[in-house]
Amino acid sequence: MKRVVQGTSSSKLLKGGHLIDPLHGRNEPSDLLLEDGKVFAVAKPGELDTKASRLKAEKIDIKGAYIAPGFIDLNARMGEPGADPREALNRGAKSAAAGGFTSIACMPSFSEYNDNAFVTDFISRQAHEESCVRVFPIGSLTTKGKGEYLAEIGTMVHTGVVAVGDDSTCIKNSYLMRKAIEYTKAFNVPVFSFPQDPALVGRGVMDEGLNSCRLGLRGIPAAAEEVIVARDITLTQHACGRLHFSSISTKGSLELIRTAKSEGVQITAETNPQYFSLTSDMIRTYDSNFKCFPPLRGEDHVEAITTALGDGTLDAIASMHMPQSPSAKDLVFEDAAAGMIAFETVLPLVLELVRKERISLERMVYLLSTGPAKVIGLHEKGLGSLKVGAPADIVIFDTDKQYKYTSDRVCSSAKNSPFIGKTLQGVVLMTIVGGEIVNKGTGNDES
Amino acid sequence: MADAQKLEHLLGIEDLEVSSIRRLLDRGKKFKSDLEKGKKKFIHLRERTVVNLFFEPSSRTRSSFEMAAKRLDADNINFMADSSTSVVKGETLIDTAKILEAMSPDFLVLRHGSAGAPQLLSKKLEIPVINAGDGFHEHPSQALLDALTIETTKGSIEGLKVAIIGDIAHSRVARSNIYLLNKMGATVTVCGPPTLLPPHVGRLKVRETYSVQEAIEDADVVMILRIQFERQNTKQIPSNAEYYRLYGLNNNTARQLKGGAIIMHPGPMNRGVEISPQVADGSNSVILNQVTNGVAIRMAILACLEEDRNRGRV
Repeated sequence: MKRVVQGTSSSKLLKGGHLIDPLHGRNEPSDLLLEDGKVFAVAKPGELDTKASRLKAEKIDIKGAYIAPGFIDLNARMGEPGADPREALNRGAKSAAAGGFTSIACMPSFSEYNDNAFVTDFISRQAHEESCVRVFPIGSLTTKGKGEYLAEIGTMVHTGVVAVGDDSTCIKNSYLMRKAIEYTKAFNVPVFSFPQDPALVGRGVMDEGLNSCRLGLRGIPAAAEEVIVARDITLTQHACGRLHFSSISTKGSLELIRTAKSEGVQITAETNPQYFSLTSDMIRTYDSNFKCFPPLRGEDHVEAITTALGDGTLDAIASMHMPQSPSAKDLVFEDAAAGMIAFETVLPLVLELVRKERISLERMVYLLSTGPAKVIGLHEKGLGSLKVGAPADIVIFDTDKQYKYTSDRVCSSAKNSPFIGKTLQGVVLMTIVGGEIVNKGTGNDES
Repeated sequence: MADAQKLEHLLGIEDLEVSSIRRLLDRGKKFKSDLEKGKKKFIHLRERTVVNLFFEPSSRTRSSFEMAAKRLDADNINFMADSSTSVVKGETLIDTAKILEAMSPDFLVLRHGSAGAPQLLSKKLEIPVINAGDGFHEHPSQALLDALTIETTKGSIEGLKVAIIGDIAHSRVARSNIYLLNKMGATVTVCGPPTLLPPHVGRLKVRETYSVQEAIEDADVVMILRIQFERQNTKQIPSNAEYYRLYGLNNNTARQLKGGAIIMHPGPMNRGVEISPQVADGSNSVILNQVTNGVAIRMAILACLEEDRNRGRV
C-alpha cells in the first residue's frame, strides 16, 4: 500500500488526553509517544516524559480531550480520476481530515470507473501527491459498473483495491452476484453490496410512506433493500464468501443481518449518519438537501438502526460523503441529485447517540475506526487501533464544544449539506496521519 | 379577520386553514353569481399581469386561469414550456421562472410535472405563485372548484359522504380533494384497484375500499378520476377493459347510487374507461358545472391573493 505521508516525521508526545482504543480495551487517561510515523509507546500520564525528552519529542498538550485511532471511511467519494469539479481530491481529503478520518475507501464510479488496474494505480498516485489522508480505492465489481461482466478483480486487488463493488448501483443479476462472491474468495477482499433492487426502486425518490403519499412523490419501499439483503445473504452463505452491505437503512434488513450473523454467515454491514440522524419528515418542504439514496426513512427504522449500532449487528458507520454541485441540487426534488457532503458532520452526529446513551464512546470509536478497518482488512496493517508499532493515525476530539456549522467552515469543494446553519456539538481538534498533523481545528470556535 | 391566514401563494390545500377555504369559496360564489347575471368584466386586477407557466399540456386549467385573469381585467400571457425551445435547450425551472419574473409580472400560475415545483419557485420568486397542478401532489384550484360545485348543488359539504374512485396514487386532484373535504367536515372514501391506491393513503383520514359498490352505496358525491395513461407505468392494471368492468362507473353501477347523488369528473374524461357516456351526460352529472365554476373560483384565488398582497404593502 502507498504510504500517504512521506519522510520521517518528528517525534511527538501527546500529553494529557483520554485514550480510547477498543481493540485493546483501553479507555483511560494516557500519554502517547509517536516516533517515525508510528506509535512508539502508550503509558499512564506522565510516565513517558523522560523518554520523550530523550527523543526531543514535540510536546502537545491534549488538555483532557479524547484520543482515538483515526476514523476509517468505507463509503467516500472523490473527484479522481477525472478531476471532477464536485470534489477536488485535495479538498476532499482535507474535509475528511477535518472530520477525523485518516483513511478513506473511495467508491469506484463517482467520476470515472475504477474498473481496471491502471485506474487503480492512477488514483493511488494522485492520492500520494494530493491527499493528506490515506486513500484506499474500491474497485468496480463489473466493467464500467454496468452489472454485465466481472471486472479484472484480481489485477486490481494486486494493485491495491481493498474491496470490490459497483458503488451505489445494485447488481441486479443474481447469477453474476453469485459468481462475484465466489471469484473474490481467491483474493481475500469483500464484495460490497449496495442493496437496492432497481425494479422496486423504480422512479422512486423518497421513502415510501405517509410522507411520500402526502407529497405526491414516488416512494422507495423498504422491500427494495430487504429483498437484496436476503438474496445476498443467501448467496454469501452458499458460496462461503465474504460480503459487506453498504448504507443499510431499514429495520427489516437489520433483522435479516442479525439472524445471518448468528448463523455464522461472513457478512458485515454499515450504515451512515443520515439514517440515524434524519427522517423522511424533513422532506416536507421538498428541500433537495434531504434527498438521499437509500432514502431517509421513518422513526421506526431510525430506532432499529440505533439499536443495531449498539448490539453489534452493524459493524461500521461510514460517511457516504456525496458532494454535489449547486446546479444538481437546485432543482425540483425528483430531478435533484441525491446525497450530501458528510465527512465533517459524522462525529457530532454519532456523538448525539452517545449523549442519548444509545452507544458508548468506546463503541463509537469501534464503529468509526476498528470496525471499518476489519471490514477491509486494514487491521492487518495495524490501522484501527493504537497499539505500539501501529501507524500513528490518530484523531483527537472534544465531545462538548458547540458551534454553528456554517458554509465557511466546510472544507469540501461542495456545500450540499442540510446541516449547514445548524448547531452541532462535538468537534475534531486534531488529525494525525503517519505521525504528522494534517488537520488542526482551533477548538476556539464561537459557541 | 385580523388573525386570518394571509395568502401569499396558493401552493396546496393541505396548508390552508378552514377560514381561508371558506373565504375563497365565498368569494367564488360571489363571482359565480355576478357572472351568471351576465357581468363579464371586473376591475380587481387592473394593471396587473398574470403569467401562466405550463410545463405540461393543459387545455382546461390553462384556459380557465386565462379566462379568470381576463375577466378581472389583468393582462395575461401564456408560456407553454412543455416543448418550448428554452426548456428543450436545458434551461432549469428556476432560470425559466426568473426570466419571466424579470418582465415584472404580478402573479405566476404554474403547472409542472414534478411535485414540489411551486414550493421551489415560491422560495425563489418575489411574486405570488399559484399551483395549477404539480405532479401527483396537489391541484388546489380544482379542489376548490369541486367544493364550490358541491356547495351549490348540495348546500353544504359538512356531513356529506364523498367517494373518490380511480387512480388515487397518481392523482393530485384526489389529494387536494381529500384535504379539502376532510377540513370541511365530509367523510371521504377512496376506491380503486390496490395498485392504484397509494400506500399509507388510509393515514390521510380516508376509508379505503377495493369495491365500487361499497364506495358508492351511501355516497352523496361520487368523483370519478381519470385513468392517467400518460403517468403510470403499465404494470398496475391488466387492461382498460378489466378496469372498466370492475371500477368504471357504468350504467349498472350508477343505478345503485342513492337519490340526489351527484357525479363529478375533473376531466378530461376517457369515456368507456372510467365512466360510461350515458352516466357522464346523465342528469346526476355536474361535470359541466365544474368547468363553469372553475372560472369563478380562479377569479376568487387571484382576487384574494391581490387583496392580501396589498394588505402586506400597507
